[in-house]
Parts: sequence; structure tokens; C-alpha cells
Amino acid sequence: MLTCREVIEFLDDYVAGILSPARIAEFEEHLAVCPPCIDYIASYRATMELAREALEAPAETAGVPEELIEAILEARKE
Amino acid sequence: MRAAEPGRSPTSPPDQAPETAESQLLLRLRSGEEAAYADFVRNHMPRFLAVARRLLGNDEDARDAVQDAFLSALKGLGSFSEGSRLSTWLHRIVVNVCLMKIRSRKSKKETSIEHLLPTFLPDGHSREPAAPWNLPSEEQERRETRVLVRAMIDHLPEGYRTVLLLRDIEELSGEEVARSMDMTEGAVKVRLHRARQALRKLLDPHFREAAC
Repeated sequence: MLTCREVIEFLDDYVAGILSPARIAEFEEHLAVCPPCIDYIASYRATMELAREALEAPAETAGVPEELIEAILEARKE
Repeated sequence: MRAAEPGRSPTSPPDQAPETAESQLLLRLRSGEEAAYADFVRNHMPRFLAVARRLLGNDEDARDAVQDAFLSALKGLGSFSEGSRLSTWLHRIVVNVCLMKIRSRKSKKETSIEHLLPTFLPDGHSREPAAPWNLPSEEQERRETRVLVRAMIDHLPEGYRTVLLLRDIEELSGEEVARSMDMTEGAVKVRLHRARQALRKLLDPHFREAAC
């Protein structure tokens, strides 16, 4: 059976859905007896989602700096 | 949701498909129409200024990078291939300008990430078993969480932070990140996984359910 170390080592491929069916079966065998690894995977996925939410949010409210736009358009003519 | 509607000009009819608006904008740009340059810059500015702020971490450098990127794009319109999206092409230019800036200021040695990675007992079991997380559901808490997460991302060593941003936020492929950062794809993959694990560890004390 896989160890916690092996599960966490291949976790990025597991989350990306690119593990082979045989490897997925090994993962699931481990997860069936290891609640902390289930929690680790859930928090790893949550980390990815929280990072996306945190970093995409400023774009929604970012203003348009007119002086920067003007500077670019002026510099283009030079 | 992204702020800007790529390819949609402020003068485009509201029901026009972005692709159509973009090809019309391209025609106007290539014909040298002055208003088209302003539309192009104004339309894409919010999204790409946000990209540059994320990658460079401060407003001054981000503004410089965006200015360089737009000027480079406007001068290089002749090399833009019709088969791709203007916004995608501009995104690559912005990212590359930001990476050049990061490389030029990177004089100090990269800090280690080892202390933020999981550790294991000799038999392969986790030394610090994970516990469930309690994530906020109220909007006020979620706003505070976004501030916290941004601060924790800033704690990551720059090389790891950059890979995390390029892969998970900017959604570049492993191959594109490898080419942009002069690394192998394998090294990008390892660095991304470590960056996520390190960020998870930094967030863990804030979300871990209290033990009964």
C-alpha cells in the first residue's frame, strides 16, 4: 500500500486527474484507511481555489488609470 | 470573472461576439486609426494591470511593465498571427515583460521552501497529520480571507510564487512557463506542487478545525 509520503508526492497528478487507473486504485486504497490524507487533499484543493479567488478579485474592481493610458498613447507616437 | 471583456471595444455594439469585435479592432489598428489604439489600450488595461500587479507585487513596477508591454505590442502588431486572440497574445507579452523585470531585480539568493513542506516519519506516515479545514462562508469573512491569502502568497519565495501565479492563476501551460522561465517542464511541475504545499501549510493554522 502507498504511504502518506507517496500519496502527497503524487497529489498534483491526482488532483489534475492524470494518474493511471492503477495508481488511482492505490490512492483510494490508502485513503480508505487514512483520514488525515483525505483532509490533506481537501485542503490542497481548497488552497488552489482560495489562491484563485484571492488573486482574481482585484481585477474586478481595478480602475482604469487614464494617465497611464495617455502616457502609452503618447509614447507610441515617439 | 475577468474584468475586461477581451476584444470588446467600448465602441462595439453590445451584442457583438468578442471574436468579431476583436477582428474589427485589429483591422482598425492595422489601418493606423488613432482611436483604435486608445480603444485597444483602454479595453485591456484593467486586466493586464492586474496581471502585472500580481506578478510584480507593486503598483509602480506593474505600471512600468504594462506600459512596456503595450508599446511592444503596438509596435509588433505586424507580427500578430490572425489565428490567435489579441488578448491571448497581449497576455503573453505582459507576462514576459514582467518576468524580465523579475529576473533583472533578482540579485539575492532565493530563500528555501523546505520548512514549508510536509515532513514524514521513517515509515512514510505524515509527521503532522492534516485536519479538516473550516472555510468562511459569509462575504465579510471571505473578503478578509482574500487579504490573508494574498499576504501568504507574498510569503512564498519569489521563484515559487511566480510559478504558482503563472500556472494556477494566469493558466499558462507547463511548457509555456518552462520556456518563459528558462526551466525544464519537470522543474516547473515540482516547483508548482511545492508552492501549493507551502501555501497550504501557511494557511493551515488559519483554517484548521480546532481539536475537540
